[in-house]
Amino acid sequence: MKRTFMIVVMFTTLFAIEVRADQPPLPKLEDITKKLDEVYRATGTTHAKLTMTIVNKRGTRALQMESWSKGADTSLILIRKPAREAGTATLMTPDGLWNYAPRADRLIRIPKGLLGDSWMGSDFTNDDLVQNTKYAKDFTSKLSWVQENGKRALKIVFIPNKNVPVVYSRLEYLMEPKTWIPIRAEFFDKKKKTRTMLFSDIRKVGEKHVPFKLVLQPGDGKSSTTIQYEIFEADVKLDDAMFTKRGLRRIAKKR
Amino acid sequence: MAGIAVGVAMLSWTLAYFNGFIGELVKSATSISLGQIQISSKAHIDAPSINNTFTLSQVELEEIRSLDGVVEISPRVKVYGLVGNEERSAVAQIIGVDPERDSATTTVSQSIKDGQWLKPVAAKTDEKPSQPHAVVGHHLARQIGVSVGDELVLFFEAADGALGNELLKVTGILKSGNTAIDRTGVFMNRETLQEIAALEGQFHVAPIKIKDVSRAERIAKQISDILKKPQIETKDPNVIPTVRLARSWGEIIPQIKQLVEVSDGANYIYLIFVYFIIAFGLFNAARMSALERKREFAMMLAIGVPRSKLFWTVLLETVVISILGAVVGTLMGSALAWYHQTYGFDMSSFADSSSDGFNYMGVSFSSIVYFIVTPSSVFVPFIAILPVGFICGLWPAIQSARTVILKSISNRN
Repeated sequence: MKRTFMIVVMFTTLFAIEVRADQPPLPKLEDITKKLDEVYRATGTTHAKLTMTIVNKRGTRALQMESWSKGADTSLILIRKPAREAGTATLMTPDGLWNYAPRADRLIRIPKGLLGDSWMGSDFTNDDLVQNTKYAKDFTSKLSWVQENGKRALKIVFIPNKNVPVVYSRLEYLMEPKTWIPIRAEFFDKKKKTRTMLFSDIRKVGEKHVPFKLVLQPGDGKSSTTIQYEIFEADVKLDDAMFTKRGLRRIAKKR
Repeated sequence: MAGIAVGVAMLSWTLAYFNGFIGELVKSATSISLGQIQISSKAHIDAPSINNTFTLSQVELEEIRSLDGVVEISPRVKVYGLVGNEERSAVAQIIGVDPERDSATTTVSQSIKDGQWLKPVAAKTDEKPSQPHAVVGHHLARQIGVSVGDELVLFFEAADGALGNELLKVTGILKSGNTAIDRTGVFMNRETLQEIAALEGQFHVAPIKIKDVSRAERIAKQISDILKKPQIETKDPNVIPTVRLARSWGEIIPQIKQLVEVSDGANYIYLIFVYFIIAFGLFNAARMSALERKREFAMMLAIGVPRSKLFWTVLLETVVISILGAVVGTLMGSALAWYHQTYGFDMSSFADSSSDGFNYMGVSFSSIVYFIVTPSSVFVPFIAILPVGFICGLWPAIQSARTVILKSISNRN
């Protein structure tokens, strides 16, 4: 279950959340898992500008990025700043994952064996981009009401089904009771918490509610990665050609 | 005597063979990439991360080079990253080297299967800002589908966290016999890699070649002393205070060191075994010879030869035969060992037919073993035969000295 939604959140696919104020105190499990899958797998197009800040023992590194996505499995993320890394990009299509190396002016395919490795030096992994499991289909889930800071919240625990290729043994989501927007997600390997994702700065984009700030903290507490969206647009007009290797190169060169 | 000569010759030859085999193993394990001595930071030994580097001033480098027994030192930069192209890629260890210094320190440059070894940066002046060159391990090259002349994209996280990338041109394919290098190694110019990896003036490892492998520990100690001295260039911002260690090959690859020690023990067991067989034959021959001449010995005693003289005569006879046999055996064995030291001993018929040589503990080496004739391989079998001859001659000598004159003359015993 390493297929964490957060990256998808980050990469803009997301955000089709509807306000469900009329839900009974405990919604149907199927509805909420289905909704989670739908939330993080947008069918339309998105465009976003964001800043990813990586804090680790080497110091703080902030990357300004721009991203475009189409559907759940096609996206393009480009680093705009700092100048040294400007032009570095990642292209994800149903055929695979590539990084664009601007100094080399070439693409390099990310092999499947490296999906668990860091993405762009952050705490996110390549796997977070590719995520292809579905909560409704690949996990056994349990829903309950909990009190979080004196407020009622929905808690959903996901346990991966057998033979589902995820590295987590359990995933716990805490969600806002009305909008079902995640507030916090915790990932466990057996009993050990391996990472925590915090969602905040919820803003309304069209009819959707979008967490504009995401903080990922690995379990060791030695680093963190924060994503702050500056612009998020849904249902924008995008040229299909931009999600090709040639399109990636063209966009990456326009720094 | 012939038996002794053959036994001693066999021992002398075998000891030289073992010396050559172990020497070849150590040489192959250290000369390809590790060096017989290696400098690295303590932090890098504990965790080989890109940030665990050390610096070496020019003064220190020259001081190390000037040490007696040191041939060359070649500081390297080593990072892990992704190499490949649009179609295929793989994780590799990218090793930045000074092409000329590294050629004099390790045998990597001599292991080129196709193409050529890296050129020094200075040699590229007549070219335009040229593409950095890369030499790739043959297994890795096959995995990502590149050959000489192809492009190779390099992508990795630099020491400052930024994303380093470069387009390299494959100029050589390497077949070193070292599994790690052949499967994951990419060699490129050190300055270029240092620039991409944000590691200017810093190194991860510095292999050192020395003339005599057996002096590795002593020289490593001398180098450690140099590295402990306060650095002169302390104002240099690149100088990062760090604990630098010079380790001999025995510390870097303790498993091979243990093998050498075990092999020394095995040599002695082998020596004892062979000498036991020789002793058995010699003792039997001496005893039979004394028995056959019992009548003559009785006659000698009868005409007044002292028993002690007879004792020493018989004993010396055995010892002299042993010495003569040992001399002939040593000459034969050493001559043959010397021949194999010069021309090598082809063991290809014992090697795996699918490879070019032997593969042992992840290190492969040539199926032609060059013997090493040492004073111990020549003199140990020779010296060891003397007590054997003495002990084997002792009992027949005692028996001869105790001959009962009348009984022996009348053939009644």
